[in-house]
Amino acid sequence: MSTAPAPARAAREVYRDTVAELLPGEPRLVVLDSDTGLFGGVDFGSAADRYLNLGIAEHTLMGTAAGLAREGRIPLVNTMAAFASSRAVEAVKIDIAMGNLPVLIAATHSGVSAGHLGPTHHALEDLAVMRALPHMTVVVPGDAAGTGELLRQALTLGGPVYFRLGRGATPTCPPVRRCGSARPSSCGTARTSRSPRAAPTRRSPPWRRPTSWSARASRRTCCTCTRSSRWTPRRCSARWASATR
Amino acid sequence: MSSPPLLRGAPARTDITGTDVTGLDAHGPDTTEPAAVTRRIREHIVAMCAGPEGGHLGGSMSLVEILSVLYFRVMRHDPRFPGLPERDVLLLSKGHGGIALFATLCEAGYFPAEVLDEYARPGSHFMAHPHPEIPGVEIASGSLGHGLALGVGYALANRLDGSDRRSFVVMGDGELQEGSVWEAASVASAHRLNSLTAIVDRNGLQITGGTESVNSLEPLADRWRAFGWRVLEADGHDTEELTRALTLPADPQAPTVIIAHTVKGKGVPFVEGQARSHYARLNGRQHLRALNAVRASTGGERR
Repeated sequence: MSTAPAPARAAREVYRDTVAELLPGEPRLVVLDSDTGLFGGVDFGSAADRYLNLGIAEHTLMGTAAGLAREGRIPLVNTMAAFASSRAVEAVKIDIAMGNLPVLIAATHSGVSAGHLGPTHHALEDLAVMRALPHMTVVVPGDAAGTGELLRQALTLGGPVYFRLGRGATPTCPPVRRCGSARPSSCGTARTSRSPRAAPTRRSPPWRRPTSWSARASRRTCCTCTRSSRWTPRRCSARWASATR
Repeated sequence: MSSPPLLRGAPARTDITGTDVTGLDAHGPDTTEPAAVTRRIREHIVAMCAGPEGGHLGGSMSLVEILSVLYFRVMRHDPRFPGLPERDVLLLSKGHGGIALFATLCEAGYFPAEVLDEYARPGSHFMAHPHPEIPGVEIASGSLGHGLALGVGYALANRLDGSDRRSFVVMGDGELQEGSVWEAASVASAHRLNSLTAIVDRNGLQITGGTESVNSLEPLADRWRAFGWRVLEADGHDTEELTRALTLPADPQAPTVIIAHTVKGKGVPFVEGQARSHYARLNGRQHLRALNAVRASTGGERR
């Protein structure tokens, strides 16, 4: 019997609700969607003109976000991790990351969280790709509970952020405890959900090893919130911080 | 001589003969006369191609009139304040026209001509492809097929601001073989971004030959129309025709594309209209020949 807490909400649902909450109050935010359906039925109220569905066009999605960011907007780009990190990665690199533009790329279905959708919808290299891009900050909420707070923090960074989300509901991570009290999630803090020693990896005999490359890779994923070491504070952080908090 | 700032809003001016001189410099000799401007831009380009690494000669020479009409007649901009929020923006999507953009920005007053001598030398910001560290350059380009999507972003931002600012995206014709161009073209027309103007430098050549023999683009105007764009065609070396096309009132329902018919390597007779003009490293003798040809074509002095 598992000792993990009961599954909570999916992190992407919390992300969606937090965006709907933040959008009317911050005129610089613009939500760009690539027909993901994540925002179906969401009422943005007075900010409805700042939700734009560009259709199934991920490269244009990233370029458009870069154009908006160059004009002082803070775009939140929505697509799946597989498309953000491979199909549209050149636009992410050249148009967004090189320019250190405040674009938040919300990538759902990361890793093998959409396992049943097949290998085209798995994103196993996205962390490696995004961490290698200049100025990029990678934020991976460990669970749904911390997602809203991490999104608010990510929007204050003032540079490109890869906000990596899974598809389904995940267990709530044990809180980080320092001096006996629980700390809220924060960017740059790892939360280890399972100690490597507690779950020793034993090499299976070849006939019992998973045959799918995706299943093999999935054993290496863990539940952390991390930040690219390449990130450096910028003078504009405070400016963005003022309104998005 | 710098471009008159925020030109389009300026009242019309006439000289004593009644000729319209709006947009021309009010001080001293008429150094912003189009022929003089384009000649100087071509001289800069030729000089950069005679540098240690050479440069994209052909596709830059075909752009000269397009860029000079935009910077000297059409766009609202101020070289003293490159990031002015009210400016019109130009995105050079065909990044290999970078040296034409540098030369035009230099003539428009964004930086002194001496800095162009540093082109392609170690430590210089001026490389074959432009990037926003250079005053007046909006985006990094060089990888083709990126600029139109950024233009969509700029146009959407203008719409959200309720601003009448315009965004111009200059593309090559070979660049239109990139699928991402048509992805962005589709989004632009779906959102009726009428402040967006694309200009296609239709010189008909790419590195290995004619665009029609490598990967056919025709019927090009019909393609753009099918994507919901208003299509205008112009002689890309006729400043009057370009000015008319670029100042036509916007179509309220559609973005505009101007197909500018140009000649690759225009102004340098020994490479004009040839695919090999794409990238050239001119030696001393070729540099002089090219310079004399550029000067002769506008009645300037020979060296």
